[in-house]
Amino acid sequence: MIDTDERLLIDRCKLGERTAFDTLIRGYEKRVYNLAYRLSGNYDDANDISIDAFLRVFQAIKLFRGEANFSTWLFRIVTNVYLDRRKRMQNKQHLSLEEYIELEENSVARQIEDPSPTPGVLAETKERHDVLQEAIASLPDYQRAMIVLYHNEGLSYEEIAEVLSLPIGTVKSRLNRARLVMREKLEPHKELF
Amino acid sequence: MTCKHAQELLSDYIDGDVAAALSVSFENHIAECADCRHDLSGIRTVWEQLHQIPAIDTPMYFHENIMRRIDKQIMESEVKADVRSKSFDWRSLFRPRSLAYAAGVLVIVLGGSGVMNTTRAGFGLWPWNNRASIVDIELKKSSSAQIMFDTKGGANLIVHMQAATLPNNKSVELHYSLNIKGSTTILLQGSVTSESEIMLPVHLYDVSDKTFTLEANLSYKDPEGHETKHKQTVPVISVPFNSNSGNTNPVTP
Repeated sequence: MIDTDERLLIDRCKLGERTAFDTLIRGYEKRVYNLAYRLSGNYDDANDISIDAFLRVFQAIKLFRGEANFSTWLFRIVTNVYLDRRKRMQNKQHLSLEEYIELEENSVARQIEDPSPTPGVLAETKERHDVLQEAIASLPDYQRAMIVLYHNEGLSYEEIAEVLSLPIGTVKSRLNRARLVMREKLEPHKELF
Repeated sequence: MTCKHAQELLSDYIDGDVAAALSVSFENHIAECADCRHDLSGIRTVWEQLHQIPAIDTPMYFHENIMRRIDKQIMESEVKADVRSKSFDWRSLFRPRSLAYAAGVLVIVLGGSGVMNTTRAGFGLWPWNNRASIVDIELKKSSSAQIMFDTKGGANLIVHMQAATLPNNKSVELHYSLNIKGSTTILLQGSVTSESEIMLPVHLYDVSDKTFTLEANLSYKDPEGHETKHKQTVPVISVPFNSNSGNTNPVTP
């Protein structure tokens, strides 16, 4: 399931070798950050989710048995960290709907002003990508996770089922529904597509 | 085929995951139903567009921040393990060999001094007096920052920091890196002591989003070279703009 080099690296991580962990996460940190960003919709949360996820990986790597791809296991942790944070936020009821929308707008504004994200986001197609990102952000948590894992991270239906602990049939039907919802969200902006 | 059934098959059809006979039935329905045809075309567009979303780059110091947290975790678990290994284990008192040893010590102490008030010295032998010291480093509670927005879209930020003293009242010098997250991310580095407060003036040129987070990453090295790390948020107090207060004159770092 995983290549020999990565398996050796993971074995070294299990022995507590810091340099091995350093190398291992370098290969995944961009994908993890992107997944966290597409799930949360803002850069600050993406940063916190990514760091929390890597800390969990570090704590739990001894439990990784190598039966699944490391990336599938890692994405499962990232998605769980995101879902846990959402649950905590909902329990605390800190965010009203208006505040959430405002946060989304701020994150878009920050996209222009913050020099840390890639300039690629600021290219000609920025408006189209913003509309797409907004449509993704408007989906319910599980549908959003499925869309991002399938279309952005390139996971198979089987892998998504494993990440989200759902039957494949459920993944397929919810993805189909999510795409239909996205089609409706993009309808008012069809001149962009 | 009904529209409901056709809609359920849209993604499977694009995936090529519909059996031949069902596929013919689906295509016949699509040929006749404008709404479902519209949905199929729309879903195809969504599919293509989602695959074209570009990846974003990680922020500056992303990798370093992760590894710093990992290092902190390693250090904390080492300190815990050290404390555990040096802590007194009550169960060992009741092992036969320990009881025999304790009885022997008691006989020697009583016999040597001839008095009963040697209990204190006896306790001195016990290992819990020899616990590993855990260094809790942090900034003093009064550490904070004031931000004053000017009329040109910028702001002056003045950070006050002082290291808290160690539990044994010893002064400590901490190395800090200050991460100012706002419309731009600024990283400052230096050292701060518990002897005196430092005042750090920073001029920010673009504060259009007016959201700031100040993170102090602290580190302390003891004489034996063991490093302790700690991350702490510095509260930011917003000072209303006042033309008489001199807010318009930026302070350059």
